[in-house]
Amino acid sequence: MMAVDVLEFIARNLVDHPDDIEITETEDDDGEVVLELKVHPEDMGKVIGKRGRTAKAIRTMVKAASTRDGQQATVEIVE
Amino acid sequence: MTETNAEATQPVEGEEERELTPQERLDQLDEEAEIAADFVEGMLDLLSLPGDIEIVVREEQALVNINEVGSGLLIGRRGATLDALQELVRCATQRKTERRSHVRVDVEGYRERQLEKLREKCRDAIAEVREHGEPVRLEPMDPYERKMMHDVVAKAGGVTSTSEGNEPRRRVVIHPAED
Repeated sequence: MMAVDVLEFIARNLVDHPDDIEITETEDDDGEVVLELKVHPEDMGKVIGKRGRTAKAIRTMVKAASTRDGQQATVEIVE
Repeated sequence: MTETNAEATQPVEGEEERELTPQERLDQLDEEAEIAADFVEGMLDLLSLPGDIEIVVREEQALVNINEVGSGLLIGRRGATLDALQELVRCATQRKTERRSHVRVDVEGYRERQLEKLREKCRDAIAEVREHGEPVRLEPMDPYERKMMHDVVAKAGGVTSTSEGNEPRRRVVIHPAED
């Protein structure tokens, strides 16, 4: 799935602990793809950003990528 | 320092401020553009999109323009995807250089066309200020766009400009010049 690759690529470029990145693909109640992104606790700020700016950019970019897969993926950042 | 110049070179909080020589600044911008271009290239590869990456460093600004993409995917509705891509490129660049990055990302000159529309609105606003003698507020813009508007106002004569509000809602205000 392109959206997963894009999410991983973005995360790898933002964090200090790339080996701690975990992405889990799940489905919500409506059958939409949800990508759960888990990063090292020290990297949480890096993927969320000031006032959630980075998280918003990640969601927008991954959503765009998922349309290439013919899907609509959303991203959830989990502790 | 005037507002116009201040916007282009906001120092990073807590960072030691030292005047860079023009060559040092240019080297920094080149470095930022290279990192940004690598990021964009990786993204294009993952999305199986074609694209020629063009790097332009000028006027205190590094720009990565993606040409021949043949898809609006990276622009999105009202440029939302392009804004997201630019934000991520800046974050990735900042992590590597440990400096705040203002590198810009464009797709097939989309931002340049948007900027031209903003300049037109700015000229209309200038005419309005001259006619009514009252200040006019422009829409919220990013620091680079505001700098471009200050430039339009400075060249127009008979009007001055300031900025007000906080990011990302900061906007240029055009005032009648005091006699």
